[in-house]
Amino acid sequence: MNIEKTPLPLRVLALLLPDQLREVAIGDALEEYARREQKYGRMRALVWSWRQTFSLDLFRLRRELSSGHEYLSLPKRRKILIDRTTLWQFVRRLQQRPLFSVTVIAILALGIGATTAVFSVVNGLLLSPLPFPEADRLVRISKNDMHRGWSHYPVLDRELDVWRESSASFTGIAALRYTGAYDGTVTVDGSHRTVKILDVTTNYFDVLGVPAFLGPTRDTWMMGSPSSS
Amino acid sequence: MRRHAQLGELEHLTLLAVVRLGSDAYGANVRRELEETAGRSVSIATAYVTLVRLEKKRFLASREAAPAPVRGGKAKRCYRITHSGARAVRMARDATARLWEGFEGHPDLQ
Repeated sequence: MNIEKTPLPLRVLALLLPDQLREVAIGDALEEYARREQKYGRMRALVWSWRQTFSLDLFRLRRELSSGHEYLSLPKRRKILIDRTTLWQFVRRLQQRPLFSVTVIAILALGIGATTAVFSVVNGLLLSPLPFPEADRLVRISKNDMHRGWSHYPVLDRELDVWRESSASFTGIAALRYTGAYDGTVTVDGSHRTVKILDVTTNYFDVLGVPAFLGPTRDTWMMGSPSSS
Repeated sequence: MRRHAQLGELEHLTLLAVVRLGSDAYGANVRRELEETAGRSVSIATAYVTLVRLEKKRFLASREAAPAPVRGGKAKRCYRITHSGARAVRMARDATARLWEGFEGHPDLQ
């Protein structure tokens, strides 16, 4: 066979073979290719050639040649070889059963993707701390009517005063009210943004431990506004 | 028996193929002999992994031979079995024979 006519898979194979055996192994491959082409046709010979090129034993061959004669001794090295062999058998088994391998890898990929997505949601909603100092000490108190089955029942001003006076467990109690009636649009540097506007007590920012982003706070119940929320 | 003197199945078959091929035992022929006689289809890389390992164990010796046109002018590496290799093959055969002894007609082996 003319070397210029060496089929592509065998030229790739030549690149993958270790130097010590490149010439003889490519010679063998060309000889077998010619035999198969004559006996079974060009297509089947090419398929056989590609299978030689993708043989995982090419890497084993490199390892075998690089390990020298230490193969016969050195218990520590032998232990490492056994571990590598186990890994190698696993890879070869995957190669021998491609459909099974693809299925397993797809299931693993789906599982990892789904787990990551669920964790991202849980982390964002439950695990990430709120953007306030000592956020783990913040609690939400609401008034519920157990008989009627209503929750988040409106709290009156005087009830709030009673809670503040009688409670020894809290550093401070702030209240907020949202009706949706005052929602509006804020324009900052030419861009419009829809905001929710709440009624809050004067100590609201003190309880949260943060200053108002913009504008002053008042001493009484105050109406939230674009300049103060 | 020392551990490295033991033969794996493919090593055993390869040694026998080398013996059967005589002076014509080079990679392509050994691979073909394994395929046609023993029914073991192995890649070129697998065949050389086994041949290199057997040579390291000193069960085979090799020499370069003249290239041939059908091989694109590439050289051959011809193998021959050594005394150690012959002893290992005999020991493997004897061990198998001892295990078979008296079990030719065993129902589990039918």
